[in-house]
Amino acid sequence: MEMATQNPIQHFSTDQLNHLQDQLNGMHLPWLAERRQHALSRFIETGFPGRKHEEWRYTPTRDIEKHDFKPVTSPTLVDTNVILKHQISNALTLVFVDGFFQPDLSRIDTSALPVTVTNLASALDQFPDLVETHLDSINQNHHGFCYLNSAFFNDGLFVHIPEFTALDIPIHVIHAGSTSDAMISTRNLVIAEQDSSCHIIETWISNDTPRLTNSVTEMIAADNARIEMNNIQDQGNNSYHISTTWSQLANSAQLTHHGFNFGGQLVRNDINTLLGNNAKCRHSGLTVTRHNQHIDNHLRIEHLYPEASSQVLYKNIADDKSRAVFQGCIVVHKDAQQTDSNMSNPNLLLSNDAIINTKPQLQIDADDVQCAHGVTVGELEQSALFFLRSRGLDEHTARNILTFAFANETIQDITSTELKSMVLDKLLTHFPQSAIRVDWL
Amino acid sequence: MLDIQNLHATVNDKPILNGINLQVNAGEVHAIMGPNGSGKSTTAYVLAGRDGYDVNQGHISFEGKNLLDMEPEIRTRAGLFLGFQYPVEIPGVSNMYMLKAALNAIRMHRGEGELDAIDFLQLVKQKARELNIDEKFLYRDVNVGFSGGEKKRNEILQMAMLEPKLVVLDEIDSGLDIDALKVVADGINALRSPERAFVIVTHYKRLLDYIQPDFVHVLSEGRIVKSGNISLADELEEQGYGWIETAPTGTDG
Repeated sequence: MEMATQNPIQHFSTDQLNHLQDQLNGMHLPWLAERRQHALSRFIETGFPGRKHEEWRYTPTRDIEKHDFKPVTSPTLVDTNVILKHQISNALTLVFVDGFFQPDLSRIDTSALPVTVTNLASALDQFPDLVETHLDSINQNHHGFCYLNSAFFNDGLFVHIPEFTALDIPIHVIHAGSTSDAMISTRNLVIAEQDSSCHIIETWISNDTPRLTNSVTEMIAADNARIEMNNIQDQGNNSYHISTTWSQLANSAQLTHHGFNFGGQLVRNDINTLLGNNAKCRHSGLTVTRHNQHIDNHLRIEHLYPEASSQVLYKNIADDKSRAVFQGCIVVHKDAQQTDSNMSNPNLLLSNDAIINTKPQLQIDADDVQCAHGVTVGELEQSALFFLRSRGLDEHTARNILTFAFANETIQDITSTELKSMVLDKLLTHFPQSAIRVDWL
Repeated sequence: MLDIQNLHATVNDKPILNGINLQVNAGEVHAIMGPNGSGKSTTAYVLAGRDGYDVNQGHISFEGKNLLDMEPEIRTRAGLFLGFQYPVEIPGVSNMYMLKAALNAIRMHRGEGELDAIDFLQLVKQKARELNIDEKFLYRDVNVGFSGGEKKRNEILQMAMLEPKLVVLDEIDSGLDIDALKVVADGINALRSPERAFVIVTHYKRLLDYIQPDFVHVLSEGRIVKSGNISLADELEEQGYGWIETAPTGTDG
């Protein structure tokens, strides 16, 4: 495999790299130190995936290599008002700045609750065995960014919900940052035991300094457990964001995953879901790209056992000279009879220079399944535009309303009213035009 | 109010309107009838300013202004309203939002300022009640999942909300059962006033029985070939359009 021409660690000697790793949380645990060293050597072998990898052919990882991103050893503090503005009331909140946990800005008092919600570094101290058992149990480290994350992750979210426990209040993770040229590796681990449930929100914000955020999330749902995950990525326009999510659903477990992508220069989300018997997953997403943004969503859902269902609705809106990519692959293994799967990817092009790449795939090795997929790429409908103009709305507003209407379906999917209005605000800020009246909605 | 002079229009370079002349004064109700392909809907779309309907000869003045110079939204703000034969569905936009956006755009144009949320709600609920429209339709996406009759009643609701000066209805009666037709006709009659004029495009006489227009025009091959009163509609009902098409160009209304 070809070695990347430049990557975040190329200027470091082996001693320096070992020294960097020694400063990471949890290095007192031999198993973790060993895994990190192994991952580092794997990364040095593979580098970043590039155009020659079929799964990465649309993702211009070379743009990352043009920068000189480096691991950071301490955060640059950010305006706390920006963070407070993103808080969700009543949520357990964990704030990370440049990947470093900020206890003063966080709110995670769970003393009255029979659950563990904390940062991963604390969990490595308090529950090392639990972390050792589950960490990397489903992450398959299938590309260079994952190796890089495994080698350098310092902190992240840790959730453990015991069996027969429903955590009703949401868990909100806010990632903020402002250190220029920082490479930030974060790791989340969510364990939902049998018949438990939790609801997680992850918000990514940053200023306009160049940065690379590389996140890996593992979510493990035991029998009948239910996890809802909402990702809101709204980083600055020089942010490079790579996110890999692995979810494993045991018998009759359920996952609802919403991915909203508005910010970032280059964003790549890999979402991998493994389905057990009668498990259900629903993935919905909205991506809005403008200027010369590139946002790439890759879903891979594996039906391993019978009677599971997967529903995918990913919408892209691309304006200016931006590009949005969707690749969705549903794999139905030979034992996964009575699979029910539906994947839909509607795309809206707002400019002649914008690009949409979409590649839905079905790999079916069972014979008794229901699998459907649909892709559309189109512009705003002329008849609807004329209708709105004939009702007195100027063309600009009419285009705006129709674009909003296209996006709205994915936002209406959000159950929490507060989160819904937060995402709505984000959408309207990043909107191609700006005439939608929120107070009328 | 409306003065159409020698209007010629093409669609995809095909001549559809071949010299229409029509004068409509405030308070009048004009019906335009005619066989399929005679140019009825084209006339309505040309009045509303739809792209793809190219006027290559003639003039239309609306309250003394050149209508053809105006963008579609400017025509509406100036007081023209088109009721569609096939109302479009807009998933993701609620009826309420569309009505509020439309009404406020027009009010701003008139210098009246936006209607506040409470007054708007009161107004729209009252109009919906008058048109026998279930309140829940207001909160549904524009025309999505509406039956044919519900879509047409929704057009009448928009008309009632926007209070236009000149109403152009394009086959508002197509696809309506008798009950829905009565509701639509009542909606139109309720808006009749000495200040307001109507141009009603229709295939059938049954709507006209409820509305009793002042003038009936017959359109054929892009021209008005005969004009008269409601009795002309009766003649058409009895004899069809065959006798008209062979008739020489008639007087204009």
